[in-house]
Amino acid sequence: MKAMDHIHPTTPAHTLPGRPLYEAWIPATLDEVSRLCAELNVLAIDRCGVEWAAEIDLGLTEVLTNVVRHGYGDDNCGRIALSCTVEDAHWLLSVLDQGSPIPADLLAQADGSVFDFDPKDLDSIPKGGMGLALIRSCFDALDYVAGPTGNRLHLVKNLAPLGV
Amino acid sequence: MLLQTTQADADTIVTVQSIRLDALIAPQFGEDMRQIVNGGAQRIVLDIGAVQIIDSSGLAILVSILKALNGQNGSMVIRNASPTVLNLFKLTRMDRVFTITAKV
Repeated sequence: MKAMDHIHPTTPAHTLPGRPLYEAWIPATLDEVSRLCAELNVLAIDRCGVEWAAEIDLGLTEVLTNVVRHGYGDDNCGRIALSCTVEDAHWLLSVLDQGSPIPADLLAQADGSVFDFDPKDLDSIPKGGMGLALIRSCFDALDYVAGPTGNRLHLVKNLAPLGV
Repeated sequence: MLLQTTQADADTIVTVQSIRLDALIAPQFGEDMRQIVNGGAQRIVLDIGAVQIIDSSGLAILVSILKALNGQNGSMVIRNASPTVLNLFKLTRMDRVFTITAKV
């Protein structure tokens, strides 16, 4: 049995409250990440406008890219499960993977300070770390649990949908 | 084709023809831009009017290109940025690094 078989969008641990808007279970490749995020962007634009959609797209792109690059690395057999629900003015996203977990200290340190560089000194621009900081900037809350059977990241975006 | 290049006097106008400058596209974008820089382009005007999303990978490539150009006394300005892309530059403080104009 492949290690990812038990991580499926319908497993109880994967479900979120609210009406499912989008679910996917994709190979952990950058092609699939790009495709999935573009699809979700279109849905988000329809429901909450271009600006909110762009933030959700960007944040999710950073999350999934991290899973592909750092979570699974050279293991191209990994998969990622994504579920997205909308409850009132809240977008709830859940990402499941079985790659290497995000180091706890990296996640804790990912704040806006990575953007405090000297703009006149290009060498002072950090070579890494912007992705995690962008994730924190794009979402209002995140909850990450790394466990023996996989890693789960819940993301919350609070916004007012169009027409409300 | 990811980039379309035209010449306007001393400026090399490079138009990005991808909606996304993300981790998938960034390597090819970087490679193509480096060829343009290595080909002698000194003043680059990067038109990103078609781009809707730039992630940290895309930003890193932009920084590396700017560094390469600065190293040979060249320059790069970014034009036609959409409001969402402009917001990203502001969020990451990259609007202080790049000369960038908004989409009209």
